Amino acid sequence: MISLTGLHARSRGSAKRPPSRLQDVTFSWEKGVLAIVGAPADGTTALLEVLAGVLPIAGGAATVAGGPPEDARAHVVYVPLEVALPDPLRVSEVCELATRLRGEPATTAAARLSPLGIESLEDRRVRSLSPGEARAVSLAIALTSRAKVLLVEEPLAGLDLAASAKVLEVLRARATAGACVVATTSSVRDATSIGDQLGMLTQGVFTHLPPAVAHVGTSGARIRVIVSASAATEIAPFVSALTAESAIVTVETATFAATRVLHAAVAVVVSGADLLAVARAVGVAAARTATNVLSIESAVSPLEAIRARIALPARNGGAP
Amino acid sequence: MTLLLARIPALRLVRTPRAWLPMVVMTLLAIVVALSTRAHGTTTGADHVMRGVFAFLVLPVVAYGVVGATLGASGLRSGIRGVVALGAAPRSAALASVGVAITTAAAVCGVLGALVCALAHGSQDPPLAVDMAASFGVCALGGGAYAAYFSVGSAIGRGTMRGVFLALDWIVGGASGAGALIMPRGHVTSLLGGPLCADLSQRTSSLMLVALLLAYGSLAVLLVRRA
Repeated sequence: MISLTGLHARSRGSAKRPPSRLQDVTFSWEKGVLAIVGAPADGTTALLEVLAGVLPIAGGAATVAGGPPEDARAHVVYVPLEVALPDPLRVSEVCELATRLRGEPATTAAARLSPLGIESLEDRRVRSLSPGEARAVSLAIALTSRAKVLLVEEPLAGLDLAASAKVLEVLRARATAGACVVATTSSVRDATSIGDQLGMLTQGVFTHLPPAVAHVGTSGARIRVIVSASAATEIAPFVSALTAESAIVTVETATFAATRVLHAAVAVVVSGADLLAVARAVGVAAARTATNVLSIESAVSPLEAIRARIALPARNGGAP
Repeated sequence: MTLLLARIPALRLVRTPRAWLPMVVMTLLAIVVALSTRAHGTTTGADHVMRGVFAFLVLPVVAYGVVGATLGASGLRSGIRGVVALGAAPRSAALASVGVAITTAAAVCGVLGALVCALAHGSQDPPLAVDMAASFGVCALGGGAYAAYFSVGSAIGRGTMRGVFLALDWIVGGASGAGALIMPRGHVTSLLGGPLCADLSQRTSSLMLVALLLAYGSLAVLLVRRA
């Protein structure tokens, strides 16, 4: 559904966004979630704007849903980081307008907002919404639309754990149903959570990102397990069980400081040579000790480390 | 589709009372001047007020205010960005917005012109009904042409050119050069009883206003290729 060949584009930026450019970007994406890692200065926003028909192309070719991006608006929903909603309307009226503009079957505003649990915003004026609320409304409308192509910038930014899980679930459902989803994010962890495939933009240059490079650092695979507990001592049995697993080389614990969960939690970072073996060992240890695991995330390499790792073989003339 | 999109600028106008301020101030000014002229016993009061303060100040500023209230203070592109994000074509959204601005400005200016004409009407003016109808027609046409003209300013950059266009109309439109031909001011003043614009007849000036309305309105829409 999306095909870019030797694409060049230049974004002048704005007061809140740095200028950026895309250089010789070539890739195609049919269905599923393509997660592209990079910052707006690397051209992530510019790429989505080109695909949404907002930013003109300076060179190369782009097709979206079989035609030029400007002609594909009816098939595309675009959720930028700084969303724009029709300012004179109420949220319910925005939902109704979105439905009618895309010729979709009539539905209630509550039904469109429910995937993110923001039905309470239905009667609010758009002008009264905070940037976060406006973004949540825009995201909910995008996720519940029937558009074939979804372009989302930072899909998990500013969402709590529950909302992130809902967004992931709906995005995955849309992708499984055949939608073509392109998400950009500066978080390697978010990209690995969302993407079926990963890409990376570095100063406007696109490269495919092998999952092994993102998930596994030079020292092997690492997994972060968030466990419900108020102190590290409470999870001693779990840690002991992990240490006993042969696939696990190191175990570190730390108080979980992230604001995504409301209750006390402890983070346990385990590492080993093989990602699947480490994940399996975590599952076995949690089951054996009846530990309340809140989430399991693959620990990822920092973006700069990934870039360095990809650039090194490229400089030597080999594949990453 | 255009009617659906026209709802947005119409609601912006209705739901933003703060944007009515220039219109309210100018309406009050026009009424005060009209009543003052009548109180002084001027025999051609309507003629005096309409080609004076009304053509010079009230009509352009009211149209300027209507355009700002319908398209948004940040310009046409910014005003339609929300509906374009929901799937509307930029030019359809721009056409709907400019159409609402022109229609509203024409209606407001027409009604205001007829009201001021009635309030300031003197004994030497044409019969009241005829004068009010003529004032309504000329002011509606002038208001529409001004709205189209300011819409072009609103479609350039972030909308700040709207103010520049107002200044240009005062500077260039009031002069006798060729520049006055493409500004609404000279034609409106001519039709309201002032000096002819570049020696064109009043009939030609009214046709020029129609042409300016269509040309500027189209240009404003064409300028919005992307939002």
